[in-house]
Amino acid sequence: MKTYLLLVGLALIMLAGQSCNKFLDVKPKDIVIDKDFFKDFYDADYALRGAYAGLQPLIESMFVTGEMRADFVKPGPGVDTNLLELAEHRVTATNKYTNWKVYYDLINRANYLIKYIPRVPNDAINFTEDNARQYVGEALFLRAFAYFYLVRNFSHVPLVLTPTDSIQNIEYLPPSPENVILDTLEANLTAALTMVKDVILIRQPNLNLAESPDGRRTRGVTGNVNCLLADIYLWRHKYEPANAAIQKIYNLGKHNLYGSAAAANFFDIFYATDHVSEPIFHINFNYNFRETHPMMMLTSDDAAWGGKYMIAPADNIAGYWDNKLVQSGDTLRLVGDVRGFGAAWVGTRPYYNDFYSGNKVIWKYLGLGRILPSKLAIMPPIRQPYRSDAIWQGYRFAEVILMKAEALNRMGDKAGAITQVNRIRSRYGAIDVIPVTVNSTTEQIEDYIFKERARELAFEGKRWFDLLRLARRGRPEILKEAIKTRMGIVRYNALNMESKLADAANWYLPFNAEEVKLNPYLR
Amino acid sequence: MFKINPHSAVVAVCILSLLCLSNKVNAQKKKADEIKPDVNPILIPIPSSEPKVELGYLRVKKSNVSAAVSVVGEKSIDELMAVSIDALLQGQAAGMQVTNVSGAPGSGALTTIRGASTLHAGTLPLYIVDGIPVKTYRFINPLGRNVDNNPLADINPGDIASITVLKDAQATALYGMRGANGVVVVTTTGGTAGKTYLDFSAYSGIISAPKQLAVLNADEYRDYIIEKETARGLSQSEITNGVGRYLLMMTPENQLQRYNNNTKWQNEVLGNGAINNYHLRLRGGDAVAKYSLSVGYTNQAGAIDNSKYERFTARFNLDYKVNRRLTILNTIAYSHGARNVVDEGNVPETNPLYLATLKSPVLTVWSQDAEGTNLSSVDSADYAGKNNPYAVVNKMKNINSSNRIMAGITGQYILSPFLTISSGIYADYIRLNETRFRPGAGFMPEEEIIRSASENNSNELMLLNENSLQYNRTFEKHSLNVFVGNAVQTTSQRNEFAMAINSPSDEFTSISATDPQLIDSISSYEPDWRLMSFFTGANYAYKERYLLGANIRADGSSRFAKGKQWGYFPSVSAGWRISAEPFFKAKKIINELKLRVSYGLTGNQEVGYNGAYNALVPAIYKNQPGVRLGALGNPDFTWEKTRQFNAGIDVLLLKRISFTADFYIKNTNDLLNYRKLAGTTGFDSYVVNDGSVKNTGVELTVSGKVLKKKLGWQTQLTVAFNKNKITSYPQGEDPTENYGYYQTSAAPGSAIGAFWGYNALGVYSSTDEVQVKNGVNNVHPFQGGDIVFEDVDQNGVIDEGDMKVIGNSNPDFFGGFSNTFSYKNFDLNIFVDFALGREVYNAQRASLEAMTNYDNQSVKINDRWRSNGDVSTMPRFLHNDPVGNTRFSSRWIENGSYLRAKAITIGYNIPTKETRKAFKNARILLTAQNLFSVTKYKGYGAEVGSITNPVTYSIDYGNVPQLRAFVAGIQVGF
Repeated sequence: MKTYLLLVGLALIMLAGQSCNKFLDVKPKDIVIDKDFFKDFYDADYALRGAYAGLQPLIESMFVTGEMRADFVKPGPGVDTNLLELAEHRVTATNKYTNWKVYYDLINRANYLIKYIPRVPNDAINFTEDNARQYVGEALFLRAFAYFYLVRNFSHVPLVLTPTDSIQNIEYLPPSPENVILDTLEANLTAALTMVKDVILIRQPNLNLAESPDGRRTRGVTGNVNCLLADIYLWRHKYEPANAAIQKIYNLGKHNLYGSAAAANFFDIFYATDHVSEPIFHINFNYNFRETHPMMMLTSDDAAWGGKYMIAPADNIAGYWDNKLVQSGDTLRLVGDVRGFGAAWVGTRPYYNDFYSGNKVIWKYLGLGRILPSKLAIMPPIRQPYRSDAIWQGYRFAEVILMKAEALNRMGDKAGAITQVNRIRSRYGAIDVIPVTVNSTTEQIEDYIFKERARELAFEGKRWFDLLRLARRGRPEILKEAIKTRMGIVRYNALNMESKLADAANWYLPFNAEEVKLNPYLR
Repeated sequence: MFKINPHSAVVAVCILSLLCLSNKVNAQKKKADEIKPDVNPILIPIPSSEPKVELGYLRVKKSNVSAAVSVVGEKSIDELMAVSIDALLQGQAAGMQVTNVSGAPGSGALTTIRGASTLHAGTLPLYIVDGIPVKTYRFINPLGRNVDNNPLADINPGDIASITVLKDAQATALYGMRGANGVVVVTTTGGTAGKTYLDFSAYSGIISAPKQLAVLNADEYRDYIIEKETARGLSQSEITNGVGRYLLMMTPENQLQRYNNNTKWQNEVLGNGAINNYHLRLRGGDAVAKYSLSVGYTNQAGAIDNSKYERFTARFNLDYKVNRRLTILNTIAYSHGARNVVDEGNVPETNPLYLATLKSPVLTVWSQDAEGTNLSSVDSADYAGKNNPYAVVNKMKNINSSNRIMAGITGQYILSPFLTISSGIYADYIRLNETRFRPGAGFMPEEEIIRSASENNSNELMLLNENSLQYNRTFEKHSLNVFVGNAVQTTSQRNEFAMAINSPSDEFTSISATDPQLIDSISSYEPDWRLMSFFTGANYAYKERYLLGANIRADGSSRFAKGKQWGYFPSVSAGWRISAEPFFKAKKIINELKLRVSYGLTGNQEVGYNGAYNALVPAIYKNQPGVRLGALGNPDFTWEKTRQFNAGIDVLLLKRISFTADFYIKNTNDLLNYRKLAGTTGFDSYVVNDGSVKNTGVELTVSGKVLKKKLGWQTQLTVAFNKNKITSYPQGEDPTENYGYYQTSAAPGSAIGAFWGYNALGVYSSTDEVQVKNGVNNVHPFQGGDIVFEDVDQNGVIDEGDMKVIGNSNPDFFGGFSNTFSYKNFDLNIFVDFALGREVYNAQRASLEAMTNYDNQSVKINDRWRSNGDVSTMPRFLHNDPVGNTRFSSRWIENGSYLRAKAITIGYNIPTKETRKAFKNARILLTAQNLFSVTKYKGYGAEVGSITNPVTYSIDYGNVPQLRAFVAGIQVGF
């Protein structure tokens, strides 16, 4: 009896011991452990999309750093200290916008893709070698996109080219100088051009592959890569390569300028994309999936829309487009550039149609249609409250044309430059008198090009970087003039802007205090 | 292939040797017919001559105990009428510090045994009820903000026979990775052989609303706001056209009635509550089967209108002796609880007590027409953005319902007179359903959300199998007890949450009534974990004089990375019963004198579930699935470890007075912490185990019958003193933790739960007195009427360098003092509990005396500084406070020490002569609970806790305090 019990007991214990090791292996349900991932092409797809999702948090920083320090916007009544410091060029190391975490998050996701996509097994139907290269190319594009913003804002930043995918390989690097980073970006993007496709093909229900315009607008395809490359070349004063890159976009033949003055459909670009062939690179949002950005909070003056009215158009904004109200019979008609009142900026809430309103509001992120000036209480075509999901225009064809003009001008082809700019102007009934001719100086033509850029791309996060580009070309007085115009002479002098802006280091943001504390190389 | 686990091999060898040993010994002795197990590993009490102390896996004679434990008997439990057992233990066990979270019905407490020993991990002790390790940690993210859905409230205190608190390493090391915070072993009442007993008790009482805080009335409020607006520099016309419209300055005719009221909002939300508790227990049995059936019903209505707790419990215990060798012990309990909760903590929009004190008195509950007649709809949110407190309490739906089953079945088989094997299966299943509806009427919209309906369903199932083998033998001079066993446990939890917004009207309160487009969020959370253990131990007593104990437990937990899952937790103890020595002559007076020491290692595995892994999380783009690397894992992630040394002395004097003192040193290291990462890595931080804390303390328990004759006097005093010190913190990390409105510091040298802020010394009576700059740039200089902050680093600037430790949540001394006087059939019990040396952050007062916006304020602001030369303790008013007078400082930290008459009970035992025919015994009693409190605290009540921050928990945002109650009850036994 006793021995029998003994043996039974022993057997039970042995059995318990055998399954022991498996028992404590509990697979978590809320996360996926990284070593279980990248097993097939679906995983590669998800990781790619996860990297693109990293673009969405960048909007606030891109807009604020791209506009606040320049002359098209001013601090609104609801402004906070962070924005005010930027507007007055006295940014401290604790300013919210010196925190670059959102950029490095995107960079880390891109680095992760670059490292791990090659590990996904290839598959003749779903994931060929070509597809793998394409994904890596797109990751290179995303990484370059983030770094280019960092370089334009900080001038020199740590160049992180490997992902942080384990606590063993956490590396803190000293900042690399600007030209090293930009050289790397140029090399990466040039390589990416050989890896990505011209278009994105989607499998249709009938199993054929068809081109997806939405895919072309939102992912890294050759058009977008060339845009970014051209932007970098222009930043570095490399005009021939810039022109070559843009010519490649022209040769694709996928884009053209949308609309006409007669149809008055300029504003369609900002909310309806299906029939509009102008956009080149977009970052998309959708309130229904709670993918939103804070632009409504920043620019709207209506608290019912969640607007805090932190950023408003500068006071003398109407003059940029030569807008005027003209009495024509019973009605008021707006003359001048249609890209101004009703598209870029409007009057105050709730109808937004008062041309003479003291409070002006940026319209590109609020509106769903063009506003016509009126004294009547007409409900505006405005997005619904809190639905802050306007598209972010990364690059659009109008900007590409103007970039070509800029490159041609500096290459000496003045006639070519002027022709390019006129393509833009003729679209929207801008002033007929063209202020420059082939006999004007390069600088004069350049001024004309940049004024056109400001009018076309108002409030799209480009203005400050344009001014900075000019300043880097040896023309800092334009930057100073612009700021002086917006701030007013009194404030300009009170803040000692003249001497401050004379030092090129002050055109960039300081490193964030917390970052410096954690990464001693940044001191 | 068969892979033999090393632990199971060891256990196998142990079992083999035990069986062999037993075999040999048995063969020499004659077989006894009557086989009576001496000690049971499982836990239904069996009456025996000498009282046994419940140690969880063992039950040992009191004289042989060499561990530090506190026993709380049935008498102490029954008449306290606490709703849950954690609140019940306040002041009852020396060293166990209990802080009630709030006085809301169904709320529980935060318990710490021998000091706080963690910064970020779990803080609660392990509760074992009849062998079942019950769920004590609350489900995270309750729908009622900061509400305590206390799982321990599911256990009816009326079912309990005794509670033992295990404090030192010798007792808790047997619980391995779950034992570092101490263990509480609860035993419920079992059956008896022979007679059948039926006990019934009923209590009913009134709970009174707390004393209201004094706030400004409508006139005082108007004067204060207008004066403040003028001081801001606004012109008279700006004021009249601005906030003046609401203050009867040019208020339009048709709105006059809305703004000319004088409402005491605290009256609108507070009221008296009631408590009813019924309990019925039937027990009996015979030599074969002993059973006990308890049924209980409690309902409690709280001081805030529409808050209540209702509970129904049923418990059945059965001891069934199948034959001479085999006994089956069975316990099953069902509990159903329903709560109507109100939000607590830092949610000024929906915490009724907090909101009621800040709401403008010029408004009133109902919308009114032009003549001032109340309409049927509530007044809407006001000019200061505040909701209508009446609507918050009466129109918001915040309902929880929980169902729970706890069951255990154990088989004990007596192999030989000295060898018993037992095997048990235990389960604990809890299901909590929460529903919340926040209507539009009376509420301010939150962004685009006008009204919202949410639901949260959580459930958790715990299954445990424990097997053990016990060998007990008493020889002439020696007695030996050896045991070995193993356990496997699996716990799986599932939480699901859904929220829908903007249903068509306030009548549509469920999620299904909302357009599916408006489903705002859905999420789920499913942590699962498993534990596998092997344990063994031995207790040896020589001549009942020299005691030795040793045990060790090996725990493997699935929370940690492979290869790092197993931990070993040994402990040793020794005891010396001096009173049993032949040279000890004073035995008549000192009946019992025992010295004991112990040392051991325990662990705390409540450090999360996924710390060891690199985690990929969803990252959606254009509503299509994507992933990203969301968190970095640390493969060395491990449990927190505690080493504890204990020395104690037990004395029994004159057979009546017993005295126990313990001294302990507890060192915890490998604290769960976070290492911050620079932004260039793309991550914020990752988990590390780095940091250590030391708790040193002394506990004292004195109890006894002082007088025994006609006037009886029984007394019990428990007191503990604990000193907590953080001994190390990760290199290079900032020990300050910022919670937004307050900060704590975990710097080496300070204690856990230390508030970190500025030291406010007073108020400048004139601007000439100011000698420091306000921040490096002095953008808003200090002037007369501003707070004097201490310049700690003496650099002439008040900035972060001047922050220091300004208080601590944990008390230095705490305990309870209970005295029972009896005369003939009457008795009077006075139970006082106290906690001294603790501070509370009175966040409610920080809002009531801020003077920065349009909220209503405390009457104390009438004493404020107004002009140069004024001497006051209240600074000047300052809209939006650019100077920072309201910053987190000692201005808001108050002395939270208190001494409270927790229960004063008068009882009368109806003499048996008169009731012999009807009842066996009958008792009537009257109790006053929380009758008075001696404290300097200025808020509603000094005792507050926080579910969301159990480490620095004394943060008072208008928590419901411990409420005064008057209860009458009867107990009858048939």
